[in-house]
Amino acid sequence: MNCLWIAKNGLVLSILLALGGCSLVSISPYDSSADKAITKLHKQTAEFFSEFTKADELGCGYSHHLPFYQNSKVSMSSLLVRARAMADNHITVSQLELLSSSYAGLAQLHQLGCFTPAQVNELWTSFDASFSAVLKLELAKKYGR
Amino acid sequence: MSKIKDDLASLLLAELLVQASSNSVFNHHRVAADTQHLAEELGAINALVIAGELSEEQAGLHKQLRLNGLKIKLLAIEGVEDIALERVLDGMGRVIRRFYGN
Repeated sequence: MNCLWIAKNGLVLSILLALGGCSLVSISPYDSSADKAITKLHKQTAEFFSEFTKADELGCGYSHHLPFYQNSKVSMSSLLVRARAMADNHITVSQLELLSSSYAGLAQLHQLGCFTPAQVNELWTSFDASFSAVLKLELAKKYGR
Repeated sequence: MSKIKDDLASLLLAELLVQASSNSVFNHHRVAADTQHLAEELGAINALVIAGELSEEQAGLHKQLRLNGLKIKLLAIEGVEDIALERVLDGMGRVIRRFYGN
């Protein structure tokens, strides 16, 4: 009886300690470089959209904003390389892949014509929300929620 | 023996409730609201196509951007829930270790 009690409870205790000692859920640690790079890209994107409020019809075309598209592509590429190099970081990698796809879509959309003020507003709202979500997860890694 | 099990179960339950209340473990209402918002945005884009303000190609790209935005938000919710769950498990592990004096 005693042996059975020790065996049963020892097993339960081992499982519980294992659960407590090593987490079943694993997510990469906070990355301050990624946080800074995402914040910087967010600022550049905000500046890009704010330029449309003062741009005349000649300055609103895709070709006038080529440096922004090139810089954002380079920034996204650097962010993705770093995110992919970190273990257990698949959620952030997926977020950044989607954000990169959004920049490509934005460029395609711009090549079709200038954005109207309403489009600029809606596009910025969408990008801003995406950046907030990426930063929310990165900061949750730091602060735990 | 039964008393010890009951005590441990009570401590674990208390820890679970503390962790669950301090973390955003349940976010289903948020997901539903974001999905509803996306449906409204897609409807507005379709209305612009009908009004001739957007071409089909432009509308497709706008929809893709909105869809990407929602997916990024949902991934953030999933990630934050994973972190919250990790904290719950860590908290319960600490309770067990304290209970058995480890």
